[in-house]
Amino acid sequence: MAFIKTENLSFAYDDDLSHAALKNINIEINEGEFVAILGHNGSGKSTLAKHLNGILLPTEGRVTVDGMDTADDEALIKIRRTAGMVFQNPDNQIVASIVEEDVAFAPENLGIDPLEIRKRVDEALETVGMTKYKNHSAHMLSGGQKQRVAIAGLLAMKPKCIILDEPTAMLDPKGRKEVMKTIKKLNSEENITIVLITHYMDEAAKAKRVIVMNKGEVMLDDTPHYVFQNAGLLKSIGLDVPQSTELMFELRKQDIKVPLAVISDDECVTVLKEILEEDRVTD
Amino acid sequence: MSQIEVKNLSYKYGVGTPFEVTALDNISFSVEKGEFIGLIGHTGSGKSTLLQCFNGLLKPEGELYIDGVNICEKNNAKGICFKVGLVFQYPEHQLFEDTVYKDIAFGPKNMGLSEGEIKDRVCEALKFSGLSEEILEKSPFELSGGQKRRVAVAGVIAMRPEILVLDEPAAGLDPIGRDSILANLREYHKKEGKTVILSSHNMDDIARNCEKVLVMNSARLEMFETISEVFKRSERLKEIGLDVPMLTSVFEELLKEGYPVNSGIYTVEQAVNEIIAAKDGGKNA
Repeated sequence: MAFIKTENLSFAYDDDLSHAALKNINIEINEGEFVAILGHNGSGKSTLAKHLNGILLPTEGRVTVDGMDTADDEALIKIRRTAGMVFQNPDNQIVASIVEEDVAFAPENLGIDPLEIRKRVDEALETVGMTKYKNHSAHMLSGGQKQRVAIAGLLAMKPKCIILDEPTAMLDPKGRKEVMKTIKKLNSEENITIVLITHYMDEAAKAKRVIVMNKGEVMLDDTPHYVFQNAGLLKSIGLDVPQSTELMFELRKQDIKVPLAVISDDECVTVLKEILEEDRVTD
Repeated sequence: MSQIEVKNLSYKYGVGTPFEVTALDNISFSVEKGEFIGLIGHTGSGKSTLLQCFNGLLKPEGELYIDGVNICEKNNAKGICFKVGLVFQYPEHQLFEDTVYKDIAFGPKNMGLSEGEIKDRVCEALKFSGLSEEILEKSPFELSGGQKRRVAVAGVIAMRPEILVLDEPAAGLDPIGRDSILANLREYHKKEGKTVILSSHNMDDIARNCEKVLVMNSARLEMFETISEVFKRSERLKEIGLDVPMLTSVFEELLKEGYPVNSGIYTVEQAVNEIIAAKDGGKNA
């Protein structure tokens, strides 16, 4: 059974579906998946994300998380524990003044045994690589570090799924790398289901599956390789494609035979080497 | 005489406290009128501090000449904020008036312009930012994030600054919002011949728009060169916590493995030309 499932999900902020923010969305996300949701501002991607742990409830249709309906009041707390959310602005998510106290905030509120909290906090900080900052003042950290502390705060609740709403939009390249590395690790080592909302193509390229949203609808839903082949379509809805994909697109116009689906540095180097070698062999 | 001349500029925060930290360490460079300059550096490298010195907000040590006037000297900073327009990071957080019109008019009003002139300036700035007149009577707080950002930029443009300084104007915007703000800046630069200084974490934005780049690293000026010279030193950029465009790394790698390509490639167009040239070269060999 799908871990997260939306069935005919439609949503309007004022309940009037004639200008819906989400229109008839049907997606299934399995446990352990790493899904990126791409789209420009206003495409509905954040609105969709907020349905996945019951922050917003469908105007029509249904969303289930691990078998629980998000519209069920009694299940809500359990749903939030199962699927935690990280937001864009790192400064809005820190609640305590000391790093480890911040991470302990949620488990403390769940009434968990102090010894268990100690263990969870230490593990969570270790996972996000922030152990040596555990006694630091949280507001003095860099943006990337704050986001990792926010992620640790979720991990201390032992969620099965983490939803991240543009977690790197306000970070510098170093911070972005730290956070992306942490996200990948959570997925591959801890088997946590990841839903990453982003408009950075290079981040989406790291996921195993990319859902492209446009005007409240799912436009594409496939592997990054397949999605980025649609360079023309993506550009027409205001999205970028990775530079490598664009280069392949242009080389084809010059009658140079290259595959279209080239989304990483390494793949691009390999392809370019091949076309340069090809000529040497013919000579 | 250069329009901007920075000589031995230093700035420290929290002087005399245990938290004293050097944000700018002996910086010198000059900018000619009409140049489009990029400013990059890791978080905490001093970018924002440097930008805030340009319009007299901070009082650094050293000399900073704008059109020959040293604004670090007492009383010289007056009026400099009209000549150098500074757009802060997340400028939409600073909207404060109850209508968009009043917010954009705030700068021109403080310049002591007449009502008629203020109105012209507001309309001009509005057009520049690609906003429609319908929103003039709206509250800035009911606009979308991208619109707020444009209103904030319009408020600075309305002062018709000779030098426009922007601290990460595209941060947090989607590709459409980003492209439209940057296109507006290019136009302001091209049509009006004004100087633009732009900081960004996005190397592609820098590569596409700027002629020269200031690279800051731990309070010092690490490089000040043309885009392609800067991207030729991609190893060093990575060392100091910066990214380079994807294709720059790709061509660096090809070069390392002995293929006949140049370094300092950063646009798709350049890359296509490089590959074609390398293929032809291979045939002739």
